[in-house]
Amino acid sequence: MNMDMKRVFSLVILLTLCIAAFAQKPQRPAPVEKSKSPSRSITGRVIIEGGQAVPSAAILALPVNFMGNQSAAVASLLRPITTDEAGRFEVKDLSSGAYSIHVLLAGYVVSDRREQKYYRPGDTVTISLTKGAVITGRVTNFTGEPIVGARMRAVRIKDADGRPVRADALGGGSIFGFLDQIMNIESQTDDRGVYRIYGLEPGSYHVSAGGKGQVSFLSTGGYDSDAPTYYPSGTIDTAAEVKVQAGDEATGIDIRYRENRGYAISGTIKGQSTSTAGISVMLTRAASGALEGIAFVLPNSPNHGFILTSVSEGDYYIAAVAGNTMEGTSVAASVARRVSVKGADVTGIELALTPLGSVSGRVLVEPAPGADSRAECKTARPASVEEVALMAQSDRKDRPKDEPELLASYATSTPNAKGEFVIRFLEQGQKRMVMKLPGEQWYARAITLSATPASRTVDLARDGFSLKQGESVNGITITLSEGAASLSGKVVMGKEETIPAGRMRVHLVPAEALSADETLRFAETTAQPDGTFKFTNLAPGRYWIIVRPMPDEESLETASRPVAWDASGRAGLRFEGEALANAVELKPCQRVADFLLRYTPPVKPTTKKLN
Amino acid sequence: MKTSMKFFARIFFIALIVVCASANAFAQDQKEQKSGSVTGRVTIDGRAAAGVIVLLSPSGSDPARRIELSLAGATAIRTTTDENGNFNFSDVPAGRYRAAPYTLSHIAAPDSKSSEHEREITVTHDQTLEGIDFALIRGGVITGRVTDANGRPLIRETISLAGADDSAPARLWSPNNSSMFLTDDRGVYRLYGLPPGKYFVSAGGGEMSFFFGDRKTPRTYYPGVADRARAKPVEVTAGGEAIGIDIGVVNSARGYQASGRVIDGDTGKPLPNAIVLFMAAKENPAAGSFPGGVSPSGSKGEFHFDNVSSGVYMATAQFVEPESEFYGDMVNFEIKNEDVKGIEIKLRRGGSITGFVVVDDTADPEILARLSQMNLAAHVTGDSASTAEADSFGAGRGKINPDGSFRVWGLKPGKVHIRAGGYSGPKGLKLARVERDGLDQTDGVELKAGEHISGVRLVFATSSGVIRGRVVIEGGPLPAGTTLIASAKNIADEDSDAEGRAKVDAAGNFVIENLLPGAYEVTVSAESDALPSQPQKVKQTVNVAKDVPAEVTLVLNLKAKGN
Repeated sequence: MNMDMKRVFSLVILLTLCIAAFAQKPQRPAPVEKSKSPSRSITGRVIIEGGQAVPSAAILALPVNFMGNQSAAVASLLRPITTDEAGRFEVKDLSSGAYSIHVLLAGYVVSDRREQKYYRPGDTVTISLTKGAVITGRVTNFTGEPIVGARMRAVRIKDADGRPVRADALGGGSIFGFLDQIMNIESQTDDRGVYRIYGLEPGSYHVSAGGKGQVSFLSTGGYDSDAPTYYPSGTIDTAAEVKVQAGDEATGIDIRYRENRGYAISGTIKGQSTSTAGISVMLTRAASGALEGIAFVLPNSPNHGFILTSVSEGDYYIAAVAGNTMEGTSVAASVARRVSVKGADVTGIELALTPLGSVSGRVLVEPAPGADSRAECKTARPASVEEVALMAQSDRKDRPKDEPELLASYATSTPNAKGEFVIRFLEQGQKRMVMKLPGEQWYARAITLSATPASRTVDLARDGFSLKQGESVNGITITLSEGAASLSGKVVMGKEETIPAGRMRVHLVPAEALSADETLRFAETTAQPDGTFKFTNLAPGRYWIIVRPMPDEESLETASRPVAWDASGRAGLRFEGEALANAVELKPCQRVADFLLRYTPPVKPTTKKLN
Repeated sequence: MKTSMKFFARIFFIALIVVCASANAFAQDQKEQKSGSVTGRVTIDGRAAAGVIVLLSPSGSDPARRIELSLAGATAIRTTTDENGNFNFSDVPAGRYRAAPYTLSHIAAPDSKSSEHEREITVTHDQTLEGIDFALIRGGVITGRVTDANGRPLIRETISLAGADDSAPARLWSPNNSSMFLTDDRGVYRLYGLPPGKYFVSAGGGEMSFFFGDRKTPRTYYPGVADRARAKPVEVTAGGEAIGIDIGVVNSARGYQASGRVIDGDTGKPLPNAIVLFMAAKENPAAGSFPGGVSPSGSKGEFHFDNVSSGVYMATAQFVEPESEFYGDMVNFEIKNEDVKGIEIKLRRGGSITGFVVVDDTADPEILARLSQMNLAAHVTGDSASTAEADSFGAGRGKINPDGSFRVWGLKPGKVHIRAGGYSGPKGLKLARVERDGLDQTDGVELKAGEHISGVRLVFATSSGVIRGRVVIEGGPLPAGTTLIASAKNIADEDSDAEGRAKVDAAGNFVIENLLPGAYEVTVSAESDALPSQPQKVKQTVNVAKDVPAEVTLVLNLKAKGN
């Protein structure tokens, strides 16, 4: 093996072990009891839109609780599961829990870019792929000579419908794309200056040549010290968008390369870093969320100074993350700071590392009130509390819309067999416990916190709760109840209506007067392109059902903040519900299907006094 | 909501950086105020080349150190040649650099005096280093399309080149051009900047394809044969293009399957979630170009690898968790045109070594505090069947605690060599020796199976020793494409920690730094494909002291026949 391959191989092994080191058991006595239920499979099929089977696609089953189930997480990363000739796959030996299923096939993208679904052992899933789009062109200098070996980057800024989306900071959205960038430069101009970027999701892109890229620390290319030149030939302010649909090939996206001056952002890190690993400083562009650079601060550097180079003009956020879960030392992070680069280097940025918080508690399942023995309540597939996907989600209501959240992915977990859960590495701020429930038999009844003195319990469901810097909120009780109902149906649009059915949002609003502020009883979902919708895990009771168009600037790909999270939102929904008086009564375990919902333009709510 | 895949990728990314930085981190040299200049000229096909980018990258002795330098933020200094092909770097901080034009499409002219595409140079204060010239020619191009048996394009498939005769140098891949070794969404690849010569072009063989379940295509040579003996060589000329070099992959579906299970060597119980590694054994002709595969064992300890071609392989297993006390046996197996089942890999509880760390020549509490930030690892020699890769995969883990105690665990029987690495500050702390009962364990600590040894001392010293050397060439000029490497090995110590390497620059000078005091044997060897035979390696012994650089001159006689 020649020297280079040996090095790369060692790096690969190092990466494998680094994954392992990362996915280390947390030091705190975290509930890691796993149930003794027999392990089972998730099966499925991968097709191309149109139904054709996709063989040889790579399948990844990632446990939601990857922090507490590290060997499963690593095993799933290394597990060589590929679909067979009929596009079928089976992920075996899964212990009880919730999983996300991902498909990788070079050159293809997943068709459904909407909300993340979770699966449990015993589920079957069908995943549809579409051929990725291609952007290709030639990069030359001003005398027409080819620019050879320049890094090319395409950052997605709008979805297929033309609505702005936050760019995926890791270029391509997949861990494999990321590793591609570590191992190879994903796209690069060849000896003719020609580049070809493929496997792109439909949408609009900014294409750029040169610059350091996100993960540039393993190569020193000749164009790395420039700030990128954006298509057709300038900075990001003059960048032309390249729009591609699924399977499109956008040709002739030629760039006239400029040696754009790259600036430096430097500063120091303050605060505790007890780790043996370094500190990562990340720079994201404010407008798009794209990751523009990473710097490292080494553990022994005297003043913990960092420097990011080749930064182009513009507005950014900068944040630091430190820590090493291997040592059990707490991961620390700084609040993201806004930084503007305008014609000069920026110095003296201070990032203060602060300890991260955690939440813990228990999920309880109560039998249906009235101990139901109805036929509808019997279910062939009992759910397990270990299959509940829990998230300590940041309620970003009062945060700037362009502020990044670096550690959002840590904030998910699943409980152990006893229902105990812990979610660590949480940044400070307003939080909400959000969950995805397995099967259709449970609904969320209450989220409470037992505060001392033990007699007083706090309702966390209505307004969420505030997590201070480094705070541990323990003793959260999430009460689930059996006997949930489901409701599915279709939104029917008037013939003159121009808004597509797929942009209609259906709301279920509790009709009982006492439920005005029972946030958990409010539900919302977005209809499919054909107008169909489905609600599951609903508390029995009486509901108004209303339908409203999504805000026009919202993309279907981004999660919207539930209207019911605000008192004013709940009031508005109840007002509209009462006015339209389209009610439905849901009994325990009832499955309502084929509910037809006609869209009528909304009634403007007048101010109404509430007590 | 965004997919949790993206979130996981993000978090994996963050954690990866954070964790792996500890494995790769090292000191960034203090920038000095002194600076000098570098000038030279770039020609292409003998004519002045204007507008060519020339880079000065801070230089370390080997590729891994260059990666470490990049991680710490060191960037290359860049300039561009003028209309006469001249370039000029001024105000370059004194130090060692690698100078190279950034021209992936061009290569060093084979017949020029300035024989290399990159030069190691030393910039000294107030001096102008002149004549750093580069004579380039346009490289050749090979392009074509890779398809499967049904004519469908193979996307993101690995392309490899091997020299078909002695004129083609083997080293072609670099981090800067690695993306050209992959096919695009049409199955098309384009290799450029190739030295003239004859090549075997192949697709598949999966260098990196074991990662994450990528399709494993068995290696197929142009035009579409599995056997290299029947491959058609492709001729590349300077500036020429070999087009239509299409490869129809013979059997893109499957090779053979190797399967078995991982069991506890003491109890015989199956072990799930162990990581199994397999690779080509030394006797396998694919060894070196086929790094093998990695897979976890299932709930009954079972594992399997698909698409394995016939040949001899070895396999071992290891647990992911760093605190695991297990080590894996190395098992050989052979695939002879059919599946192989029942491969049993045993994991055994390893031995351990504990003790304390001390620093030889200082009581500075700041330096002592750094020790617990160093990474400790151990590998065990004495198993002749194993290879370096397998040893490092099955290496024992270790930790230095803040109170100065250390532990190394997961050790198989044999001679245990403990290594310390990681960030150690500008002066450099290195593990000088390992002592057991007052005796220096230069051959490693002898460990029996499952034995736990205590009372071992790890003695660290500051490694500020420097060797400054000069190589004088006799018996003719140094041929084009020859690289001289100087290496220094501590005579008393077997461990590679006690070694240093450096490239010899254009003027024949080299500097090897970060050495512990002691007696070293300095060797100069020539790495070249152009020399008819290896000239004799020259050795010299030199004593390295703590503060004074040791000087040495070696004479390399090209006419003397070597080993």
